[in-house]
Amino acid sequence: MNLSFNGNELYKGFNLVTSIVPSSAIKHILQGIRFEVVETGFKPVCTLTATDLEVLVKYTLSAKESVGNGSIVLPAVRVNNILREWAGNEEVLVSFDVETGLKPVSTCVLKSGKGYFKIVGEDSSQFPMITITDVKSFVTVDGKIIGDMIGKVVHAASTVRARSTLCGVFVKIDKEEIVMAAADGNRLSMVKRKVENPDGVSMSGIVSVKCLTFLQRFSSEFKGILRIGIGESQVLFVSERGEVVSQLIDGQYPRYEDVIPKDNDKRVEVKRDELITVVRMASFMTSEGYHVVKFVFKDGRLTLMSKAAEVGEAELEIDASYKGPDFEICFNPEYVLDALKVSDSETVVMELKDNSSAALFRTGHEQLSVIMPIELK
Amino acid sequence: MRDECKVECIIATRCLNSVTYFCFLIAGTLCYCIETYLVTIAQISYDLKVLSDIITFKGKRYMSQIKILPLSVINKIAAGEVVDRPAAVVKELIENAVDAKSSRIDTYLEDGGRKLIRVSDDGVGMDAEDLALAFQSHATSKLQSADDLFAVHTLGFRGEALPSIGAVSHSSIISRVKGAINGAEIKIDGGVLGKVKERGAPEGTQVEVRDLFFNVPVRKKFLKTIPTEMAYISDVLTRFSLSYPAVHFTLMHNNRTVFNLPPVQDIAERIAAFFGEEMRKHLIPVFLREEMFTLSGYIAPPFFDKSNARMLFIFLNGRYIKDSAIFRAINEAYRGKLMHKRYPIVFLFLQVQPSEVDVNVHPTKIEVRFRNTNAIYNYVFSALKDGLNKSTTKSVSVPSPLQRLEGESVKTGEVDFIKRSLWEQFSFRKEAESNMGYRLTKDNGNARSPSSLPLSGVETRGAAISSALDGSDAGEKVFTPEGVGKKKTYFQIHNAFIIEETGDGLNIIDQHALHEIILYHEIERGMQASRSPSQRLLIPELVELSPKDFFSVISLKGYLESVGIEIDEFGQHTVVIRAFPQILKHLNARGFIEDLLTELSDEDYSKGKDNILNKLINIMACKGAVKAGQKLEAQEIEELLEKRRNINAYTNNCPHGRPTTLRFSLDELQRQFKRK
Ligand SMILES: Nc1ncnc2c1ncn2[C@@H]1O[C@H](COP(=O)(O)OP(=O)(O)OP(=O)(O)O)[C@@H](O)[C@H]1O
Ligand SMILES: [Mg+2]
Repeated sequence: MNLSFNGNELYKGFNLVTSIVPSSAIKHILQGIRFEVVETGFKPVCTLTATDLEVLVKYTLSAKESVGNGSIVLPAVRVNNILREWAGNEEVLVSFDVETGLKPVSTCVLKSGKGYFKIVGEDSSQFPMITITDVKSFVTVDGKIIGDMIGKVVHAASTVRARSTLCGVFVKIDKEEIVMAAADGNRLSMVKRKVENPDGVSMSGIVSVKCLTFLQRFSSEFKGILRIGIGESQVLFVSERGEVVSQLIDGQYPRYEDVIPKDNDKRVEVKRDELITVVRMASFMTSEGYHVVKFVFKDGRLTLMSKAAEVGEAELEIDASYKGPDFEICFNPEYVLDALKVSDSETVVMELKDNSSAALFRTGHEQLSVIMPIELK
Repeated sequence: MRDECKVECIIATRCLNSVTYFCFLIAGTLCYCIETYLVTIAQISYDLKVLSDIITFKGKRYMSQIKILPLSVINKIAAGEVVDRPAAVVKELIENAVDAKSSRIDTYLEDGGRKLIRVSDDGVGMDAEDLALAFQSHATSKLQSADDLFAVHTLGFRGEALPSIGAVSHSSIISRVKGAINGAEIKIDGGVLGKVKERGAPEGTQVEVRDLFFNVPVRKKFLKTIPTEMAYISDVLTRFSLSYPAVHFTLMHNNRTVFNLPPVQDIAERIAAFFGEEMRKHLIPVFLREEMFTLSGYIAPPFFDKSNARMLFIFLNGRYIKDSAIFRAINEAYRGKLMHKRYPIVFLFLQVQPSEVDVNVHPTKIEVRFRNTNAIYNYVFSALKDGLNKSTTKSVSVPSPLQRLEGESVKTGEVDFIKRSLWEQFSFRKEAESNMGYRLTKDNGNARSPSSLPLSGVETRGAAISSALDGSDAGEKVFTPEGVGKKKTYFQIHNAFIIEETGDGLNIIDQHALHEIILYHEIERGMQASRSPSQRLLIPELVELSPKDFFSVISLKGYLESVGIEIDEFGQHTVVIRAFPQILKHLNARGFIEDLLTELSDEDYSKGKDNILNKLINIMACKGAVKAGQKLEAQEIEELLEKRRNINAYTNNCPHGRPTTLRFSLDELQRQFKRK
């Protein structure tokens, strides 16, 4: 059958799903992308599928012409390289045999301009699929909002393998709200947004960072409404252009609400940009194993100090709306920077208690980070 | 019953200590014609006191040397089977030969000793009356009264070995007393004693043991293969020949000579015979003399480590022993120089007043009990520490493998020409390889390359390069002298090692080992300055432990806190971790505590504060360091190399004593490529 695509559209879609293809896989076929054509009424619908067995991505695009149904698995990287070159072409033709049931389809021809590629593919019936089993209900939200939320929390997710639940992002939908929270052993980031939840369902699960970063990219490239459903063991994101299914991370996510301090009595407001600058600069005078910046609050001022053996020291000051007795607390500057970087508000509010208790950084609308201080022993 | 005896012994030991010693001498005088005989062990000098302990008795013997011990003495002797395999027989027979002042001891075996063990000596020998008693239980010439038990100066004293061997084999003894006209023979078959017969024989004694365990099928069944039994036996011989360098030992198996060790002056020669010239070259002599104690011997530098403790040769008054206090002292002396679960190689010869030690603890006499264990521990520790310190100040740098290989040091200078041509080859290769993903990075040009570390005669990088390129055609090269001087090349291989180009050659760095030593110093320094950053945990981590581990952790609480781990009891056998060292931030706190508990042994807890802290830092550094197999980014490598500047002390060894860096100089490379 012959299919005709716009070069750029085909490349964009193919390139996107390629990003989920594992770079090395035990099963060779996982390094391919399943290319399937189904005739639906008047226009053929083409679906590109890729999976690493944890996350499965389907991307649909419409082709101009086609006869019959068929599918083949194409080597992802190779074909992606070809399509990249042809991204500027008006038309790219894809043709492979129609499924006859007799023998599997195994070669595909790509044509554009004055050239063609004949590509050896694989039998699509061998391609693993994740079947969606337990997702029952959905809420609806703008994909852009989801992408934005992901960006605000993923940095805090743990990368230590042994803490598998903290290696994911906790996603919770309750009433009209969707919450994303991510934490490692030392800090937490959380963001909350509105969703449309006509059925009033509650659902939650721990979603892998890989799935979410893909989703972030997906929703930034193909804007539109996203439907989200979380089941017992799977999460499903559906948009007009495709869907992302992922296995949830097994286990109980810690009760993140309990970690957010409620009674921190010292409240300090500072300009976000100013704080970012001084924290970054103070971090120049730290070293591995000694990544510490001291925050000293005095009436109306915040002074950052850092000092590391064999490196040197720094002292930087900004204005702060602090009133009260002098107060000191130490942080790992990276955690503070991570929290500030994803803030898009002009000012941030720090709520503090004492130098060994959790500090709360309010970094935007319904957005916060909890950072544990460092003590010097 | 036996325990009661032991208690008695201890009490007796305490009361009788020095008195016994003199009693023994007096008793000895009455029975023997005393003639002093000096056993010389090279490099060991004795003061008179110690000397008197090994004064041995030689000369014309009275008749009926051997006596059956009185029951009161028998009961005090640590009883138990000692003959469990051919090696044990060999050990007992050689002990007897040594006790008989032999200067040559020949051991002949068939089928790993199962079929035949024959030990012949040229010692004092036994007369007919002695022979009649030799195979009798509790018959010995070495002990007279219970008091002698506390001043044992011979290897044997129980009068048990020959009878127990005779009970499970077809054995015979042929012996002739030195100077006697006739010899005699006695046989024993499975415990059934024959008659003593007069016969001609060489001076000395020859004991033959055939068909060991012929009447004990269970024992026989448990014997291992011939090679295994031979391994045990050669261990036995190794120990004797190290302990008695003045004795000529031979070992033959099925008509083949296994060892032939003529007498030597210096124990080092025996060491070389068994463990190679290479080891001998690096042996560090140790020596210490105290009032009641002399220690001499050799130890090997840490890089000769072993994966088991079998190379800890400790001899007490000539007897090979195992002693936990001495083991601990050795470990302590090597602390920080050896990897976890690696053991040093030592050959220690201790002379202790017999009254200061109870050898009647264990039937095989391999364990002893010191009257003052602490003193022994301290002596051994300080002697070894001294030896190790002296050896490191003597030769600052551990020789690189190539140096060791060739056994000669590298000359520097007057090789500029070759250096240059080699350098040019490098340059070409480097050019080609930089396109293949090797990393070339800039550096500010000052000579921070590790060649400023110990290796003697090393020029700084810039100097080496300019001297190498001073030649005429250098200008043609892509790399101008300045350009080259400012470049530093390094790259990672196998995700485990970093290859680094230096001013005069190259370094191969073990990324884990180097990072480990850096962390070690950082943690230590932080602790000394009370500036160990401790990151409080967002969600305190609960760790459920076994009751034993729970108490261990609680007992470590103070130490853990000083390195930044805040831990509290939380219910029965659970602890809660509230804060964790920043340096370990990528580690799982619970996993670390569990690892820590497996790494810390019971011994560590008893060894005091510094020891535990040190161990703790060691474990932290090891767990916190990048692992072999971890891919490093260019920047990470750079950071690692940069940090190396901050560590001063043992730069070439990680806390386990493993080298971090192998250095290859251009000179060495030239030699290897036969360009020199
Ligand atoms: N090779 C030998 N040369 C001279 N005398 C020997 C020899 N072997 C044994 N004897 C004599 O036989 C005695 C008994 O030996 P045996 O080994 O049974 O006992 P032991 O050496 O006194 O004590 P232990 O049971 O601890 O070895 C010894 O005390 C010694 O007098
Ligand atoms: Mg004996």
